[in-house]
Amino acid sequence: MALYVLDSFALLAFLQKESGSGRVNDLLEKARKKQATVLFSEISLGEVYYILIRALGLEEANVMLAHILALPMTMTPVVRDSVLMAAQYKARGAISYADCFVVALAVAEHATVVTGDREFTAFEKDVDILWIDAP
Amino acid sequence: MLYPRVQIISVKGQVVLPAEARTALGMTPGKAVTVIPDLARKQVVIVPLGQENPVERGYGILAGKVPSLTRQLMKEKIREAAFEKKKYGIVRSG
Repeated sequence: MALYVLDSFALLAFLQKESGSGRVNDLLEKARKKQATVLFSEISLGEVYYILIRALGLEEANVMLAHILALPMTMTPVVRDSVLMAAQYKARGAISYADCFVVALAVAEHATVVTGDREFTAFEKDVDILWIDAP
Repeated sequence: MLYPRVQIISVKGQVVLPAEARTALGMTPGKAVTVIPDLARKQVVIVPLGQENPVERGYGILAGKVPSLTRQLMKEKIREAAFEKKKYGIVRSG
């Protein structure tokens, strides 16, 4: 079964139906029908959560968090191996720390990163990337 | 008429939602609810999530409600990179 790792950018685009979010919607629908597996790092969850708190306030952000947790994504906890692998990517200096966990998770699970964030361009040799806004 | 009710928590931590409240809010068996602990007000808020397909429910749920969150995320990353550069002298090459 196809395996994908969503990043924060892709999930936020989905929540706001932004450009390219149709691809994210399709993947999540596939995951709901058990035709694909979508992983989401708990580090990304934290990143999305603080963006939501800033934009909506804590109370409304908590409601959105519940909607997110109900999505057919497998929340992936942080373990020592992923921390160390993420640190190796961070050492390259070309990406935010949270995104390092996305790359580390995708590499470890042989999954495709789903994003519209061009910061991931630096890791195209390490992982397959599905650009949500690609034509 | 809907009134506040006092319910007792079972040993399993379960609380019965009064039938009239469930009916009024369309809270039928199998539907999801959000349980939000609000420590500041010492209360727990239960919000029905509505449609049963969480993907359909979530897609565009914040469309037009707040400025672009992806843009806010990218701004945050720029701020983070600037902070790293200032504090540690690290420059992102990507």
